[in-house]
Amino acid sequence: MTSNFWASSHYNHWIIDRISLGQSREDDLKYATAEELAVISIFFANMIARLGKRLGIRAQVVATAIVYFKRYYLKNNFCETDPYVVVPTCLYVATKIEEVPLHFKPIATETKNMYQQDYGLQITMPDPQSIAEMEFYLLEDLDFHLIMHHPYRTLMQLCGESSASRSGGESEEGEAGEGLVDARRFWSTGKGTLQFEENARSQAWCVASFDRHIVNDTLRGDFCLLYHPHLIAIAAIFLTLVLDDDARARIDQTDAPARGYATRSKAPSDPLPNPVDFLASLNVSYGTVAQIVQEIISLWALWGRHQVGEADADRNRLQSARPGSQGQGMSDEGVIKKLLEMQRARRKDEGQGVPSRLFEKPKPPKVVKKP
Amino acid sequence: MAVSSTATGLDTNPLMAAYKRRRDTSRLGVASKYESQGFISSGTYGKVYKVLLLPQAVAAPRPGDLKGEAGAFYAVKKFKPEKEGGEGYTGLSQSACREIALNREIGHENVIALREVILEMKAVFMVFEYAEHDFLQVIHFHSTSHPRSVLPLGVLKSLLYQLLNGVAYLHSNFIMHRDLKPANILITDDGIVKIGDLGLARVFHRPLVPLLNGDKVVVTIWYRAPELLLGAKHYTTAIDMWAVGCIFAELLSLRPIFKGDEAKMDASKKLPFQKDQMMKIMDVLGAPTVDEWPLLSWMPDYPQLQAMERERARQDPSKPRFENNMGIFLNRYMRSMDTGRAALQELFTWDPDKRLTAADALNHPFFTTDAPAPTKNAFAYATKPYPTRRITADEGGLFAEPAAHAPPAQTANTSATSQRPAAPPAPLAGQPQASTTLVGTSAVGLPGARMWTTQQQAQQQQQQQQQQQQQRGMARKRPRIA
Repeated sequence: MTSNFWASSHYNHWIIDRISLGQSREDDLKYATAEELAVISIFFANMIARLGKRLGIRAQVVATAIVYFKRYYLKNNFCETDPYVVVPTCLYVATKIEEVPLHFKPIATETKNMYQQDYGLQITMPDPQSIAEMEFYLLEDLDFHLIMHHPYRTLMQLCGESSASRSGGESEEGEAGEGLVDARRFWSTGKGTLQFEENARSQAWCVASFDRHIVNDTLRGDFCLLYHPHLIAIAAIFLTLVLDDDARARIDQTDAPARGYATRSKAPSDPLPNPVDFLASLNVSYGTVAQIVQEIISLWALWGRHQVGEADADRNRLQSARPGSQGQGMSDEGVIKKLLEMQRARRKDEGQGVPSRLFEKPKPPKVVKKP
Repeated sequence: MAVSSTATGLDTNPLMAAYKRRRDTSRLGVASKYESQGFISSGTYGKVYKVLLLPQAVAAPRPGDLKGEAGAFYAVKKFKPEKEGGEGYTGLSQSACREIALNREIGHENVIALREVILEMKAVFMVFEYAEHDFLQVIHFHSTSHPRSVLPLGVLKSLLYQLLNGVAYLHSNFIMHRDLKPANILITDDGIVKIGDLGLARVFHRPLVPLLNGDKVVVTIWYRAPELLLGAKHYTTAIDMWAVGCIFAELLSLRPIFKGDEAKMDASKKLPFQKDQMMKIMDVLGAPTVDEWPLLSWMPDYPQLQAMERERARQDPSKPRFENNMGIFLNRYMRSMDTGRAALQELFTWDPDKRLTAADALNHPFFTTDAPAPTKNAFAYATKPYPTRRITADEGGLFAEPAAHAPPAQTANTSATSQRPAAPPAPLAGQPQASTTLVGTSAVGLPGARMWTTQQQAQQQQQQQQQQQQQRGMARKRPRIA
């Protein structure tokens, strides 16, 4: 469904467990380590975001394209397909589904420019025809499930309108202008939102935009395949509150007893909401949230070991979380080279009759339903 | 582009060529799953065929597909590739993408269900559940019967209630249909209403760009809400409710209530003001006032509306104003139904913010207190069986290569090969009978559906029909969105 996550194709067919995720990578893991695959994943998510920026596409569309890319590679191997064709195609389909359609010709032109200027790629550039043709195969491998539920929606709902409306000028942002009508669909508690007083709005803006940057960062990992979007959003809020100095100071100042929830109906003179109480009031599994937080930190650590683009969130605040092993990881050129190696090695194996998943009929990923 | 060879597409890329081959060989095609029963209708998007599911293809092939029923009928909508030299892939149309994306997410008794999508031969095949009737067929059946008969109230209420139920579901999912009209609202043979054709529908939950930026023209002219006619940049689900009002009125009077002529777009590509349509509405409802519609004066085309009122005052000093004549209509068609009259008037509220919503309409006393109550089988109160859908020979169109959108063969085939024994015989040329005016009725709702297998026959038929229609004062073809 388009409004109810629990009835959506996203929830019913595309939240998978770690075992299925591992199985989907068995072929690629013959030619690359798990860490190398993770870096490749970051690399291509960055690439889609960069192409989106070049084309002036909003972050929500880019996010949709990145999720398409990840879902596509649940059923396909990097070593047997050409991701440089898949990248523009994902973006092309996403612009249509998010109702900001672009023709595939300008996308092909911009893709070529980006590949040459930003990556120095020496490949046959995907011509417009390939993108149009690839669309068919992409849609098919996505099982025609095209509507996404992104964490941005929950983020906007939980952080309230004041913070959301302030973010209009952000270059990479989610969706602005959130209404709170459907918050209750997601939260059985139906309690209020995390809001800030008028004079604290600029701070709220910082918090909200930092959240969003964390959410953008999660798109580089496998979060969107493993976890429900609202839990990713809450993990991002939690991390913001921990990492943002001002927010943390405010939590420290707040008395231990609950101050109640800020709701839209309350006058601005009401006391500031206590974020800790607010998070505690949400009816979600904090075990899972903690796990997501851990994995975000691991992602940053991994990212810090390699030089594949900068993270959106200010990772410097995470000094402790990342071992200072700069300089020995993979760079963009390294990833490009690695990919070629994988494809070459696979071709050799194929000549010797080693089978791969692509020879089978595409298997649907195993779906797990978490309560 | 930068490809040196003349070849383009995935075949130029060794990796992707191999990938493509593997996918193509593992895929089950339309022809191996379905058997064509004939052609239903065609439109700008492509063609619709009636098919029979073959026993070996009953299983749902991919997650989210619906399990089939062997021997059951389905309707296959084949999107023709957008032309552009005819060769190669041109990308799926926005409309096809929407219809696929939305139909894969939704599921409701009163919305047509998508069984599966098949991509083959550069074309998209959407397989929908089959519906034997539609609102337009029912309206035509009554308007052309001799003597002219009205819809039994129980049938009318049930059809309307189920329509509202489907619309309420779409709206609660943040989906606007944007092309509700009798031809798009189907009915199964057990009397269940199914809203069809989500090709213009879209999710309106926090749009990234104003709605007007996407589609310049929404809703077929006769069913278009006043805020759209007045050039509103943003609009709401209330536009669907206006269309429901128009359909309600059409079910009562058996003819479109606001039957305006569409002003065509001129060379400047500026959207024209739909003056005639606005006129037709004001002839019935009178002119809107700022009192009843506070934002009226903010509408971009409000000056045009004022000009129309001045013109009226000049032309006919005896009747200087547009009068509300709704009472005449209501007295004629709903004399003793107070709640029904109220419901229709609430649907025809000028101010979109005050217009009846689908959810509220379902609880309207018209349905909840007044007898007869709506029935699950909308035909429960029907006095006569409604004619079944006309199916013509397929001519191989369903399984043909997409390049072949050439005109059909000129050789005469047997016409109207409906598979169902219950179907009435095909109308014979020159014989004025009820079903001849069924031209224009279609599964997914576009006019001009050819009921005859040869073009000459079709032309003949059209001429005769035009004559017939002129006699009845309904000379015009049903409009649609270009």
